Amino acid sequence: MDRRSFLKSAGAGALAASATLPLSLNAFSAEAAIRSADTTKLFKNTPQLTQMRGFGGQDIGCDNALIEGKIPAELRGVFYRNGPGLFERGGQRYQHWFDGDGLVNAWRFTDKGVAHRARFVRTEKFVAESAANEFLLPVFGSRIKAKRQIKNSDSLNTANTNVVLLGDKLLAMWEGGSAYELDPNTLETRGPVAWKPELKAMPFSAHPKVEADGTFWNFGTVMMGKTILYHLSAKGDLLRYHLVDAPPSAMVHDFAVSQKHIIFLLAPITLDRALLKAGGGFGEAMRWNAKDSVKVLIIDKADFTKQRLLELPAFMVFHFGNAWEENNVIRVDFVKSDNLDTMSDYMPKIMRGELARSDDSYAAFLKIDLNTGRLTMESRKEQVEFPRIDPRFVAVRNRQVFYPTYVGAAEKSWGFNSMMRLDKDSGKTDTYSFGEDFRLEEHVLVAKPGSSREAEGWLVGVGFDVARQQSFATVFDAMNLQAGPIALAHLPYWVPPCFHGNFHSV
Amino acid sequence: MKMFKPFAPALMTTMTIITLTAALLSSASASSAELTVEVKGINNNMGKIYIAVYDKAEDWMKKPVHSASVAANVAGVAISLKDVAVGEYAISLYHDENDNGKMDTNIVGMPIEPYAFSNDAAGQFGPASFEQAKFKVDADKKSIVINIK
Repeated sequence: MDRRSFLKSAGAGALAASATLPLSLNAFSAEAAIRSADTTKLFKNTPQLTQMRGFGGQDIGCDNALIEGKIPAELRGVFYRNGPGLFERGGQRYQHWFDGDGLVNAWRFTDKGVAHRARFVRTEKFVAESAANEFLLPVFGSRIKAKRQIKNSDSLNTANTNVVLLGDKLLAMWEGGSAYELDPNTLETRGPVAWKPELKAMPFSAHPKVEADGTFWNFGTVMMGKTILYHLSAKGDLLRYHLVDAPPSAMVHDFAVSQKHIIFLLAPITLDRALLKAGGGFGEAMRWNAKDSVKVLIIDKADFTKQRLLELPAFMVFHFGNAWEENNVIRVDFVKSDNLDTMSDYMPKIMRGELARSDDSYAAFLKIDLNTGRLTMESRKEQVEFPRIDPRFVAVRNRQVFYPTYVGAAEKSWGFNSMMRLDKDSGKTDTYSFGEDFRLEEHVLVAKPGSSREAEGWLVGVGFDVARQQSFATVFDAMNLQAGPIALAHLPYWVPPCFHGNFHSV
Repeated sequence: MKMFKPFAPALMTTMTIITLTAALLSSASASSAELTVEVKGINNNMGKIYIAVYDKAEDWMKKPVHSASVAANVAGVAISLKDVAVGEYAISLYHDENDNGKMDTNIVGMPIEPYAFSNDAAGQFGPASFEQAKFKVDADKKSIVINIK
């Protein structure tokens, strides 16, 4: 394709196609259009990051993963996961992991073994950009000039963050807009979900909280100062929704739910609106206000109009483990980091094949005494993320939290290579490390059928084998991680890494 | 039967000629152009397509000079507007899928029915501007295509 047409199609401010990459540390500054041929060069010397190349838009599958060890006979069901799977089109490459179009994976555990399938969610954006063979819409972390109408949030929906089964709907989730419904068997896209006509295109976060009886809680960050709360039944009927006034925070990714309350930790992130207006991306317009406080917003589950606001000194939080309460004292665990640096530094580096460490993030524990209004917080030292608990213990007292973690020389860390179980009561950990050449994702607890004891079952996750350049599923005895995985299911190919998912037993 | 007799047949003839000529000239430059708007990309056969034609930026999205509606059809629809004066116009249109006579919005005011503008002008979290959507009607017949998304 001739140089001129490439520059035109590459959007606002595209650099000359043959320019070397800008090395400025402010990664958002350059509207760099990196050619696909350059991508091969970018990733040539960093096989650890191959997955960040993403796919070109193809779906993929394997009927029979290669099993090492033995898959337990009672571990049966589908492990769904979702993550950004496409990062470049028509000569342009995204600069942020969050930008990619959602690729939903299904790992099917049956008597025949383990089968894998991954299909892109056919969002409006994905369909239009596939047809045009170029990016047409702005995304979170890269400057793409809009060549297509932006009607509402769903015009930008990438459906790329989480996937969960609710009733008979498999939902691919993205916090900025609607959940997209997929066929749970074929992963074909059915379309965006509107819980009520007046809620069409309203944001539905990627981190719902599902209680043991199936009660489904979620929220959406509407705009600075307003949050919508959703209460759905196990079958997927919307029982209540409410728009609440909330202290503004430009990014609210997750929340927690206890027996009686909904808890938000709202980090001090504002938006540089002038930059947005001037064509800047959402991610680059986010500003960290280190001197401002985290707002602890506590809302009554029974009456969404009742809320209480407390404060803590600034920190950043993406993910929560669990919350529970007793005698008006709420306990919440989550993973905290100091600020937003990981977004502007680590992200663009890995997207261009450069090894980087993500910011330190630690397990943190907050005690909220509603009787006195006092807040007490503690944290641990291990580098962790993606906390998960036994799904039967959501919103009640629990002990075990499972996290991917890193074990090894800190300067060599480029991702998580180990799995850790933390017993919150004893403070003891149970860890297994795969070593330097593996990368692990979030793992989920699958309860053994018939058991009622917390964490009695298996810990199931996905990893990447750098040497083989292949993805694999892992199965551990959840209460004995240090013994190592009891089975691995290897694919003959790699898939892009996923953020979140859920195991639905049959 | 005695017909009305012009009192000055020769003059009348001249005046008639002048009048006719004037009429011919004005029909080529004033209010009798026909504008056909073809709408493509309609998702379903529900409800109606409403179009509104505006002739100045100050009235954009407020006071249309022409408007019309037609039943929606996935094969596409064409709306013909007669007596459209030569000039500059911009069109906004929407697909009223539930046939309730208005563009539906969600609880925070985001539009949730399909809409589009002439020139396929793309709005971003709001309508395209008159400037982006404007086009000229400068002949007897003018036809444009708008793709609704």
